[in-house]
Amino acid sequence: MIFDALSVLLLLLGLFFFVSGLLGLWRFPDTFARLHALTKADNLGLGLVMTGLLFQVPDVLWAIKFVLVWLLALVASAVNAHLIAVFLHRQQEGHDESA
Amino acid sequence: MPLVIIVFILLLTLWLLLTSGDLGSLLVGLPFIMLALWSYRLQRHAPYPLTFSFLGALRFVGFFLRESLRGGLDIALRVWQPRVSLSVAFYEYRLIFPQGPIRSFFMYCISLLPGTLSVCVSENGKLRLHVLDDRGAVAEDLARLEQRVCDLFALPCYKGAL
Repeated sequence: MIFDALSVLLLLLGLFFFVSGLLGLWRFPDTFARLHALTKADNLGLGLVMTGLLFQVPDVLWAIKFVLVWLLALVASAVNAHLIAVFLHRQQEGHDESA
Repeated sequence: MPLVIIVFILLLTLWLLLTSGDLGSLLVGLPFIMLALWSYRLQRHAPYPLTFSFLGALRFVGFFLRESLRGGLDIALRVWQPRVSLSVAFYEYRLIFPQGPIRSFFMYCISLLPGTLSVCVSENGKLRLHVLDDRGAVAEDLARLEQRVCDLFALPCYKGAL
């Protein structure tokens, strides 16, 4: 019972950070700032969802799986943010030279 | 044991963990593992040995979790305010890690931690990053991450030099 309550609390908290990331995507002024919002808020949001689900796992293998999913999502998010940032930076520099 | 075999075993274990040991799924997994191994050939840096410290890893995990919390809260505080308060800027930081896995790891951590985003390594060899708020203590934050990464990889780091 107490574990279920903890799960619900952590899932709701995680959801709050996902919504925050989404709000950042909408409200932040440029692409770089939006990348910040997505990487940081989703890192924490998914981490909290993962922790909430840890209270519901049937065995330790599932727990390892959840942590791995979180880590893989972190790697994907960091690599994607970096690739988008590099692309954008090159584009802007190219623009500056032609201006 | 050659590095490629070790990485192959690691990736295979990862795949089997994620699929709960479903051997049939290797039909999909094995080609991607091979692709990942092949992509190793694309790296351009000179290989160097990697060492890890168990205590350093524990410290790093604690640090990373704490900073993740701070980073998420920082974003949440900014987006829920009536007026979004940002002071975005580009920032340059000297790199102490040579090109390769440790540097990449450091750069990816920067992107996941509060208010900083790695962009690229500029021609002068410095790391160019984007900061959400240049009124914060960017250099101090980066130096702390650098110290934790050194601890993790058991590197002797003294006052920002290797």
